[in-house]
Order: sequence, then C-alpha cells, then structure tokens
Amino acid sequence: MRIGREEGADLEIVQAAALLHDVGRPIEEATGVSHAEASAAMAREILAGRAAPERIEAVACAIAQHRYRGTQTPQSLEARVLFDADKLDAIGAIGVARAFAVAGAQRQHLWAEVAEDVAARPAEEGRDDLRNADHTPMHEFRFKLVKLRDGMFTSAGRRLAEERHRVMAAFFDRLEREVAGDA
Amino acid sequence: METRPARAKARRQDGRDKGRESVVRNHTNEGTAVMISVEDAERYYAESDSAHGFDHVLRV
Repeated sequence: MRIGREEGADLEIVQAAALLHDVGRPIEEATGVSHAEASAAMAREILAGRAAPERIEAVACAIAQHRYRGTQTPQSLEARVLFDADKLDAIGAIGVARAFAVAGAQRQHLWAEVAEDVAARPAEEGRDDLRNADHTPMHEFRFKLVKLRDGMFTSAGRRLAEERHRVMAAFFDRLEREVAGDA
Repeated sequence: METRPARAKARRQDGRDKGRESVVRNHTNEGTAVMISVEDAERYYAESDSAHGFDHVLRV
C-alpha cells in the first residue's frame, strides 16, 4: 500500500490484489498449477459482485502477473506495485528469514555449494525448486533473491530495495565465509 | 497457574498481535472504498504457512 500511495496507483485495486495474491498457494502445492494463476481465479470468484467486472479483472490480472517464476510480466501500474511489494518481502532480513523457513519446511539443507549455471537459468525454469531436496537458501539467493533489486518496476520499489538488498547480500556473503571456515 | 510454555506462547501471540496492528493499518484505505476487508481475506488463508501465509500478505 505504501508503494501504491507513492506511485499514485488505484489503492482499491492494489489492496484487493495484495490481500488475495497468494490465496491459491494450497492449489499449487496440491496440483502444481501456478499459485499466481490459481490465486487470480480465486480472486475473481471471491470478489464477484463486490465491484465492477473490469475492476475485478484488474485485480485478477495484477495477481496473475506477480510471480517471479512466472511467464507474465506486470502490465498495469497496480500490477507493478504488487510485484514490487511482494518482492520486497523476499529480500532484506525478512527475505532471509523466509528463505530459511521454506528450507526448514521442505527439510532442505542450510547450505550447499551452488553451481555457476544456477544463476543463469530463466526464472520460469525454477518453478519446482522450492520442493527440490537439493535446493537450499543459498541456491534461492543466487537464482532469485540477488536479482530482485534490479528487477523492480517502480521507483519506490527500487529505492526501498536498496538497503534490503545490502542487508541480505551481506548475510549470504557471511554465511558463505563461515561455511568455508574463513570467518 | 499459568505454565512457562503457556506464558511463552502468550508472549509470542502478544508480539504477533502488536506487529499485526501496524500492518493492518497499512491496509486500511482511509476515505477509499475497499473490495475486501483484511478480516474477510484472512478467512481464505491457512494458518500453518509462516513463509507465504497471511503474515506475508499483510506485509505486502
């Protein structure tokens, strides 16, 4: 909402999209269907009759386009605001905490050496990474998290991402050094 | 008498409630219509997912 206000976005659409953007995650876990697509479909159902159809569609489109590992890019201002707000929560101290929470839930290791080609993979190729036993927070950092700052779509997002990126990068750098016995 | 685990649980919940107040305020559009309220949206999320659950949604 903070980014939406700063960017002059339609806050009613941003708020609904933010509140419903991950509502389809259980469907992704059960079926493999992208949670962005599943959440967009659920948002259309949940919001039916609560606003004009074109406004509900604007919410659904923003949700469908919010996934980093997806094939769609955010088109509207409201979609760009949602994308940036969601990615800001994936970096910084919270991003580090979330990466390790996911790894713990998936019984993944804290650290493993990351092959150089991991960072070069297209985003959509990482769809199943989080369920892969060989994936670690360090893989997530190299594949996705380190790139988010430069992938922000709004000026507010880019500004807010700077410090969060520094904090996160410093943590993973330190982790690497401690694992190697250099710190 | 309240046990230590119960007190610890209560403290964690209190901390979550306080953190939650600020993020809920963030989602309150003063003077603007809303399609769905925070309370209404929360009903659609499971409680168990700490990384992608409603805590994350409120921060967004």
